[in-house]
Amino acid sequence: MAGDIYRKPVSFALMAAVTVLVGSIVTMAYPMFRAEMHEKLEKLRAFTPLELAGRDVYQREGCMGCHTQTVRPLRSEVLRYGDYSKAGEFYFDRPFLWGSKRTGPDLAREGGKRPDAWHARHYADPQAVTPRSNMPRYAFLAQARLDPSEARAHYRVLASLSPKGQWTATDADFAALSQKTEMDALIAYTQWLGHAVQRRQAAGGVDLALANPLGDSPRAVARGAKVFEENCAVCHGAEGHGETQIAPNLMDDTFLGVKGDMPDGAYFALVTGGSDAKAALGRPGLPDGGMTAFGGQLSNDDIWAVISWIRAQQAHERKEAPALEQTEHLPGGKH
Amino acid sequence: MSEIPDTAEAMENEETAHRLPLGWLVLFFGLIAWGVVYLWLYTPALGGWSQAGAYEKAAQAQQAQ
Amino acid sequence: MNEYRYDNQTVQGFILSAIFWGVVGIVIGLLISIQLWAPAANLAPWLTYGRLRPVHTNGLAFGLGVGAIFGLFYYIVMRLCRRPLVFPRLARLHLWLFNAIIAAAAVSLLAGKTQSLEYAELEWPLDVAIVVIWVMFAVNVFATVIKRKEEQMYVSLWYVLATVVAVAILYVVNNASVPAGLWKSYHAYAGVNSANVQWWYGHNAVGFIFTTPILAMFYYFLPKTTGLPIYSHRLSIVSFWSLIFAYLWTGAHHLVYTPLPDWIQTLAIVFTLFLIAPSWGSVVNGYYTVGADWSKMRTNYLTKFFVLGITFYGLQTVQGPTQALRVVSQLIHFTDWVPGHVHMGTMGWVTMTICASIYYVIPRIHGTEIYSEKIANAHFWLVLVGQLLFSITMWITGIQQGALWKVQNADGSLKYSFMDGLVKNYPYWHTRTLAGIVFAVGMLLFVYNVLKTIQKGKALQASPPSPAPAAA
Repeated sequence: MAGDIYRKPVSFALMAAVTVLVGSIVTMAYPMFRAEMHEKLEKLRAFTPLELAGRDVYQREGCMGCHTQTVRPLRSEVLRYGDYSKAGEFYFDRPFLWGSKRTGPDLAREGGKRPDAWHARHYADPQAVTPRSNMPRYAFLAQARLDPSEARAHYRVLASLSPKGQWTATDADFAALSQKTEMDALIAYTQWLGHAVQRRQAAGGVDLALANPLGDSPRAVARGAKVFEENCAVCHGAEGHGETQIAPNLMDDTFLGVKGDMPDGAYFALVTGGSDAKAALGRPGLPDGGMTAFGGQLSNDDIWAVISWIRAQQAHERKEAPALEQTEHLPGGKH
Repeated sequence: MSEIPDTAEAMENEETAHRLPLGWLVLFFGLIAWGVVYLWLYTPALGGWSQAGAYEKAAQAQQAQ
Repeated sequence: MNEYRYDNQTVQGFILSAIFWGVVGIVIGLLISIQLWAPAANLAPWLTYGRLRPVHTNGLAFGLGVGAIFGLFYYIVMRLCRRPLVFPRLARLHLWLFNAIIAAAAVSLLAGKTQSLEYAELEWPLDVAIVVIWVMFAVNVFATVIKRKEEQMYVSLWYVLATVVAVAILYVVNNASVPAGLWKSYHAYAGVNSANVQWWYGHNAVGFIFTTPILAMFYYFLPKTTGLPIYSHRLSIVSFWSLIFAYLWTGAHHLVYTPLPDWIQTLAIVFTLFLIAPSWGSVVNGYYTVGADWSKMRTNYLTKFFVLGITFYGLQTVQGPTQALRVVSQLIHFTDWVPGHVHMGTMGWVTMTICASIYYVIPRIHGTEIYSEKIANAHFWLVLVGQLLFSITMWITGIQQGALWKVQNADGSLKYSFMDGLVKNYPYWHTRTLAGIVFAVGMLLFVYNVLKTIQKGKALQASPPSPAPAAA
């Protein structure tokens, strides 16, 4: 046996170093020189100063301790969050923020899913939005103003590490930060996430002729009421009257910001496909509005049941409306 | 309690110093053999498997239902 | 018998520092375990879960773990080289700098200064300081080993040297970053590459802080406490080289099903499974060693610490590789199973072995016996029960979580919302806090026992005429 090495500490240490370097070189150093480690998606753009400031907040608060940012190529995962993560989405991420634990949900596809106002309310008081959530409150972020000079320093360092022309902020962009809070920044970063990847399409595309197979059966309406309460009321209100800046009223006669209702098929496309269905429907809705795509998260039957409930509720309110007007015209009424 | 002196000779049992238990050897070489097979099967350039391909297959299988 | 002036004070200084940071880390661990089910326990911005979690992991890995490693390595190296440290004053400076760094680390993490790299959270000024003290440590260890009085280097010294070399490489490569201010930097690597470097580091921080140093202690203190020599020298050799060879290939098993190229993931999985062999080499060696006389389990109170410790190491090194398999990973990755796994290793193997080693060392330094074997036994059972309750609870809820995330309805849609899965964790998270309390009580008994032993030793020294072994 080459027992000598156990008498010569320096040779021993060198041999140990070589031994640990073999695997390190093959699996860590060598890949660095391969293009597959440095891909960039066509649509991926660098952070704006506000988004970068938000990312700094995300790092500082240790959000990655509870949230992942990588959707695995598994059926259940793509259904829940959206398309699985691609290497080219993380070109600007220093460091990567994939996380290792999902105490809360994955955030890789969070951008565009919900409106800014929803996030503002949720970050400030998560339990007000999701009662049994265990997320801490981050209301203090709304009190902290951004420091433009610090943001500029951080931005410049990252910009210097990418090829020219990727980071395009101007002095005015940095100056504008003095009017923004850390909350604004975090929300901007949240909306940046996943922007380079096509979001979920309405299952089977948009088919306006699609009829609700459940119709107005009382069972469907009852089921829909429950699904609505669990999934939709958070934004659209308990009775579907909407919330300012968060989600539109479902009971009035405008649909996606345009007067005039649309058929059940449009409702179905919007609930399954979320914001991306808006273009297909030819109606823009709120400018920065975000409708979550529920296709895959809710069964088709549940989605139709919600539509049954909405229809029943709309009919109910139309019946109530004249009575409401009468009460409003009672003497002493201010309206 | 009799304490062993701090020398390499005393810290190791001389009688059994050269033994390698058979069960452990089987484990050692068995894992190497398994590793070669797994490496072949799940390296895209060798066995042709890829996680993206596996996902597409699973997605299609479900859509076909 | 000790004709040399061993620098026991530095050794004891590191041990006491490690214990102090250990208590801090455990208390924070209890607080964050409560925060998981009581969000109102996030008392202030700097006491939120997100900021405290790295204080918990760093405090225990680097404060308790590395602090104990420094102290016990100095102890082991001096004995196995049969000479004092070559630079005793450098070691003393090392001790003070170590504590200053851990304190600064805790404060900076509470302030949210973090690189967001797991187990490499500390920002660049602290990284520089850590490299400095690691070099001081390495210089002392190498100088002492080179100038040793004992020709043959015993197994523990192999693990000591491998640790010193590997940690240096890992730490410097992964902490390479570009400063953007005094307390802010961005990783030198981007995206997928950043992930790959980080987990090459992250997993090997486990390998070379929670494995090789603890094996160095195990191989030294097991024969010393039991009086039983290590079973097979050849098994030690094969296990050592195959362990340190295979470990460095395995980091990407933390990135299974991520956008990291498939071939790197597959290589990592293969080597992770292979690691069962070298790990069990040490387990088998340990069992056969004690197997020469199992009655030591009864007659020597420390034997059971080492045997249970190596048993949890054995379980850990089967469970870990299993988790790397794609089919298992897709179920349990990102769930509470993983903290369950980690805590079996840290509470079962690492802490058990470190505590037993300290129980051995402290009385020897003071030329006395342990203050109370009874308290040590109570400590043993409490940490054992606490750890098992913790791990098993987390495994159950982890499997449940992973399964709920996957369940699909007949039409292909998901059956459970994310919140459905989350709220089902609450009862298990309550149990985890309870388990943590049981473990913490055990550890407090350990601290008490150690402090009392030191007190006893000092009293002994103060009262002549005792031929106390020389302390520096």
